[in-house]
Amino acid sequence: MSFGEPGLDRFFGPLKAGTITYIESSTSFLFDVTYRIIAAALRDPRTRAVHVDGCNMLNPYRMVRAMKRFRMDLNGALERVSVCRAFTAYQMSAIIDGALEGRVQDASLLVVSGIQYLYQDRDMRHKEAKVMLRRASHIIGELTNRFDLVTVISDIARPSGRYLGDILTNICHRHVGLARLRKGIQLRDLGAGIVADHRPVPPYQTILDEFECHWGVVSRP
Amino acid sequence: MEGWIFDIYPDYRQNVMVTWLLTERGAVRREEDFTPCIYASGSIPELKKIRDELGCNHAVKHLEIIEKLTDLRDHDPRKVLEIGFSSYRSLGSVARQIDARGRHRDYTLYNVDPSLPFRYLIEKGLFPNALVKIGDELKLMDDIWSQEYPVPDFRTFVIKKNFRGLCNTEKPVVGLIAGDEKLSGSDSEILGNLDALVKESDPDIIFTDGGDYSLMPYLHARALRAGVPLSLGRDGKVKEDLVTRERSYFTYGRIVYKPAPFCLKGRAHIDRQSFFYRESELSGLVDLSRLSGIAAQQLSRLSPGTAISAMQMRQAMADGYLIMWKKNQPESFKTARDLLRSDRGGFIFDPKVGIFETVTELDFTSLYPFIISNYNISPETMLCDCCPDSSQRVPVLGYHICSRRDGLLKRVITPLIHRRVHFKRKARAGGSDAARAGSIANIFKWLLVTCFGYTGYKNARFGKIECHEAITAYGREILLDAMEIAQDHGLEILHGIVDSLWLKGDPARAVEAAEEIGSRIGIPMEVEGTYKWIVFLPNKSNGTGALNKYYGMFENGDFKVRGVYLRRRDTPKFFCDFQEKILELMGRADTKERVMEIIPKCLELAKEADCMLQHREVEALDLVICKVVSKELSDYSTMNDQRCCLSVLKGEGIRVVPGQKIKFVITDSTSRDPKKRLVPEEFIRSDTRYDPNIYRVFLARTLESLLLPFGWTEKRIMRKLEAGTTLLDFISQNGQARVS
Repeated sequence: MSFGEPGLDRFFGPLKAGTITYIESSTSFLFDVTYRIIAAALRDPRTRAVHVDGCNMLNPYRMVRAMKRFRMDLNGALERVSVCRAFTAYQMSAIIDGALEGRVQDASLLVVSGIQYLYQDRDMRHKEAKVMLRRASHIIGELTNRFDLVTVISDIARPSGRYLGDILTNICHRHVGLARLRKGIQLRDLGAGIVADHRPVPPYQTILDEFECHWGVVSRP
Repeated sequence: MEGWIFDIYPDYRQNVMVTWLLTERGAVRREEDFTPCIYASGSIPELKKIRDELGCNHAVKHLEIIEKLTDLRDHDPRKVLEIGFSSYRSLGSVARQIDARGRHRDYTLYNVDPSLPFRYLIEKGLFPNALVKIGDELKLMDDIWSQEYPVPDFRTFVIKKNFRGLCNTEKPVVGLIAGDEKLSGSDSEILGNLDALVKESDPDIIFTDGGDYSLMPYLHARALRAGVPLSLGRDGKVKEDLVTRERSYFTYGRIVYKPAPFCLKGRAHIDRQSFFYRESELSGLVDLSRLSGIAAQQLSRLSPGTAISAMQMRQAMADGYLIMWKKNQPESFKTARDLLRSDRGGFIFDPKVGIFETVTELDFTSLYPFIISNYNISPETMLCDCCPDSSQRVPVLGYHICSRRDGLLKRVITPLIHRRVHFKRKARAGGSDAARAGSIANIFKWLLVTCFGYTGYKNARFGKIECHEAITAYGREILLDAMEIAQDHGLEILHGIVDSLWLKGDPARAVEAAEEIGSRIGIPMEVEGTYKWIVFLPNKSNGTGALNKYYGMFENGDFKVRGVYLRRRDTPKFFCDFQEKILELMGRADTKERVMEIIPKCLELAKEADCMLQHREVEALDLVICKVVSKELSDYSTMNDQRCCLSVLKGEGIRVVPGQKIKFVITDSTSRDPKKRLVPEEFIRSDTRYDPNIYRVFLARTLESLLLPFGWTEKRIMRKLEAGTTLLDFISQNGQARVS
């Protein structure tokens, strides 16, 4: 599975079934990356995706915007994404512990966004948050294995909360950080130590690389 | 002897509930044994294990496996372990122990977080401000739903600071107004006299302005330093009055600061700046306190959402349901396409920009609460298990609603709607009780406004996102139906927003349309009034009609203004007054042609105002800008006014936390030196010189916000104002000029 954008694909490579990619960031580009992978996955009309959101990231309009880049049947694609929003850590745990298994059985892609954000709630005790997040991440890992899912955990951390990302890095195969640069975004593979710069373009703009990737090489003078 | 329940709180040392009652002979303190209980559900062998383990815990008074209703969807009770406590302080820690023992999954705990006074009153069948007969037991002599009920003649007392500037704990108290007395002298004299005055007059309620935020903590800190025993409560304790800490939180796109509540025991400290008091004064607060089960002192510090939540809990507990501690009912999975269809707000019909004559505004009365009530929307009735084939379906979304029983929300909201309608009618009828009725009607307006939002709020006890979606779906359909009916009456729709319509045409037809809409839809639609003329304002960025930005004059000469500077809290007084003057001027016009004729006069008024600004004839205090701080000083990366003000205040030893307001006057908008750029309100002196140029820009924006539909942009107004500056103005503004 790929992002369908040469810059991102060069850095991430293909996302393989049965693996978890953990992307952490405090920039809004994280949302674009998340929708990008969902949209790219749905290019294949047999693919189904599941998106569980914990940080109010879920925005179908933004999802549609990402899909439009691939000129796909929007209604059909939206029908193939199952979504669910959690507004508290308890709801997130209830979703992951309960209904998620039934939903991912016929899916190829699982996206969980803002999971750490929820468990960092200051009304929740740190110990309790750790126990619950550990269990949730264990279930995500197990489902990824069992159903051969491509799993992407796109996460933001509260600046004021205690960091819980370690729990998620324990289950992931790849840990990527996105940081805002003066011009563009820095992609950092935190495990392999690889760093790359990326310059995202506005949603309806196509860069030449991408155009060539989808529509063939353009002869340049 | 009879008396009113005034204050209730737990005594954590004696493990009894203390009730203060107001009687003819004064305030009476009463203690009563009370055993609060929590409940745990799980597998029976596990519950038995917990029971055995807790058997030797001294804090636990009794343990019993009983049957209770645990979920609003339950038709039959299930087995739970009831744990009664002899030590009030242990309730929370034991609950956490059980939860941790089950790794936060195996057990579900109930009734852990309702406050002790709240559950005490429910168990005893009482409520705050209820009239009771005092004996071995308190016997209720009152009806919670009564609309006319006796209230005690509260003795009140006001404490105010009698000095300018901040309450800085490093500086002594230099003057206070306490009741009718002005206190002065040394720190300890003032505080000692205050203590004596409060004891002597023994008020039931102490009013302050911003007491929670500054005055009360300041007085107590100074009393501690001076070694003066200052106890403003009736039971003489000071430290325990401070219960929770201050906090800043994010809500509806802005950050809000909430100071630590400074509550008293046996007496009520009410901050007159609190939302509920501001909106409804004491009569509304008392009425809501009776219905919500929360004493007026605590209630005055809460939000309408918490009050409505308390009412729902009260109803659920009275119906025999337990209240889940950590609510975890998630949203159901749906497709992204369904989300696109369902996750929408109210219906908006963009306004036509410009000025219009003979426009009638129609508003639905409590649209969303009526939808909850009429369509039985509640977390347990929405997508219920018992009647999936129910014929009642939410339009467009197709969610089914239970047809077998009335939901909790319906049972809570319906009487509130009727109560509001009753008091609103009474307030309109006038008479001696009109002010009280108006206050009560107003508080219920806020309560009903909130009840819809709470269905989608993450911390709502009885929220469910599908209820939120269903209410807006019904709302959209209803407004569309209403628009069709209005058009059938030959009216042109100029603007529509959620529950209101602005219709151009014969006012008599608009009245007929309102009646037909009300009778056909089943939700009353009221005529807000007919405007002689109304101006719908555009969005500055793209020129399209802005939602909820308009001003107009009703036939009786009253104005209705929305979304302009006059309505904003951060607008300096000078500019609010200026906009009022402009509207006053426009108010002389009966027709839109006359309004157009008046525009040149508005510009002259602006020139006069600008002249005052340029000559620095305006009081600096009238130019104070108020802003809410959204982050800590260190988190600001750009050099803006907020950052500069925080920096200056920090230099003066004053810390401002996110959500708090800062007020300042700009002295040099171009300077990067915070001290040169602005002066915080507390440090404004008679010789503070403001920056006239930046205030001229504000003036142009203020006028633009009213005249934009007539082609008067900020730029054009600025040109007009700048052209008006004479050489004399220039010299007086910039000192001696060299004229060649």
